[in-house]
Amino acid sequence: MSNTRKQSLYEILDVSFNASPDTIRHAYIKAKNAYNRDSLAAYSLYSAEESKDILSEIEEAYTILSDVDSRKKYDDSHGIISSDSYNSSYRSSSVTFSKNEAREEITSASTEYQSSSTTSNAPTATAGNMSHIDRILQTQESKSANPVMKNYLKIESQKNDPEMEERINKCENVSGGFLRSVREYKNVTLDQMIDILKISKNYLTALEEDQVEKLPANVFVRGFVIQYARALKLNHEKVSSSYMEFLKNKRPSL
Amino acid sequence: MDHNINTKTEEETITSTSIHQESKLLGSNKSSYKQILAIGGGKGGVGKTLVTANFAITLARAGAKVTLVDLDLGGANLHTCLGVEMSSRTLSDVFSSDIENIEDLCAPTIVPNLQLISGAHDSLNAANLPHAQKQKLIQRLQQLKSDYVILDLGAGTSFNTLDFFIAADVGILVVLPEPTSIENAYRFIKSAFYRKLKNIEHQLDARELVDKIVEKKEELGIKTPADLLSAIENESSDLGGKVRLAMNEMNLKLVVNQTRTGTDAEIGFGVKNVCKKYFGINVDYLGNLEYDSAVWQSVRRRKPLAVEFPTNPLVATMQKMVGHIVAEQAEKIKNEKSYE
Repeated sequence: MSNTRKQSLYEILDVSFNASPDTIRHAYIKAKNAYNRDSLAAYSLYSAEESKDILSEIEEAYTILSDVDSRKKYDDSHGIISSDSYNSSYRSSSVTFSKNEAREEITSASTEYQSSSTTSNAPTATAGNMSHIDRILQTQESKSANPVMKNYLKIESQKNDPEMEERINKCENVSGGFLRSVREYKNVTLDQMIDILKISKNYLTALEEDQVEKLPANVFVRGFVIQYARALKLNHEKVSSSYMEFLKNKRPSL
Repeated sequence: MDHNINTKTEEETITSTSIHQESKLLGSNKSSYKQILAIGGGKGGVGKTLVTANFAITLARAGAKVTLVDLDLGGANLHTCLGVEMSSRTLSDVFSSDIENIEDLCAPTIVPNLQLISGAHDSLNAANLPHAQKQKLIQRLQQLKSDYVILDLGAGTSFNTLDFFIAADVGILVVLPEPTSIENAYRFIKSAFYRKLKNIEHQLDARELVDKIVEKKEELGIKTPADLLSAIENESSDLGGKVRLAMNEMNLKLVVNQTRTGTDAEIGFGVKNVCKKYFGINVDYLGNLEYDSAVWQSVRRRKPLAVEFPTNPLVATMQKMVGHIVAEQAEKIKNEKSYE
């Protein structure tokens, strides 16, 4: 399948770059169950042989991501900062504003998380399953809608430049330079961005300065740009598709 | 009778809070902002009507104004379980007569805040609507003065069913933990995928590009809809991104009904996983509904489960699913507002 986009190990297991070992383990079990020989989920779309190939990809992804050292090595070689440092700095950055503020800013995404988790003690099989859903939601979405990000939004409202707002709204012709100007407009420093995204400084600088030859494979760049856009509360779909178009023109070979 | 109206469960309170939050966000725009939920699934007898009726009751009890539309054109029966006499006016009147106001078709039900538009029981032709009539009906439905419009779709993958499913803000698929049901659900998703692709090709002016890619299918190694999405992205990230976004706007949700074991309930995760890989689109697994004989008892008594057995655990499970959808929609409105 030469044409299709190569998946990162994280995509194979459908987890985010900063997924905890527990989340990865759960995702692995679910993925394995899905393509299992007896599974009702896969047999009608994939042949036995195809399922076997998918299962070996899943095994490979899990073998690497479940081992601290090999995950770190994989992350390092793709410009992702490993999950351990993520956890500790995440905690430290979330205490930079008061509890009241955090309570005020709780989004419905986290209400949703609470809503399902409040019932997770209910004596039905469903309750257990819903908590899996919560976990997925929490890892994939809630972190981006987290108070840490909200903190930046407050800063954002202190400035008002109609021309910039218009550009942000349109998200057209997105380049690394554009992303940097939005970050600066929103008063977010490069270090803060590194702290939120867990992407190495080299890659982030290369991204912002449009030194495209220094960037990793497209599949990773796309992931970075989505996270970058989310952190600045931009429309990440618009931003990533526009940026990838830009990247493809600049670096057609990859 | 509405036994449960004054004692809200925790799940209901959450849904109410989210609905309240939505109203607050929407302010004076509220009347023009309605959510359309469509419930389908490909196969007959999987519990679409169970989910439709009880989701609608949950929303109505949480304070939303809800209109249920029986779009099982040809096999309409939602009125039976909501204690509504088959009304003299049905959906067929939208097409055949000079109904000015679609509200005139709505009949009140035993649940306050919940009204029903009965299906076209009398017209076999209604099951095969011409495109213009479908568009007219969809427009009319968008004019309804309701917070939520819930469409109960028929079985199968006719263009009728698919077009209503695609037009909705949220598409809920109900399946049973059985091979035939899952196969039909995939067939349904596949049909919806290509129907939607056809629609957006036109809107995005992407037909030429898609045709070009489809012609070179073998050469490019495209085996699945997900491969096709990637190939479009490879040709044009901008267009590809838009197509992928539009596909995910179907906002697919999955309910596995009549589960008897933990393995049955797990199937939902498998389907979610496989859909992401095969179709390249996200399916949100809402959860499972355990097999419960109270369901057929309530059908016999021609009362929705939430009315006949309000304390049944399945009712709480469905309330939780609704809470999840409402909270997600509230978040979506919030994000849209922040882009404005």
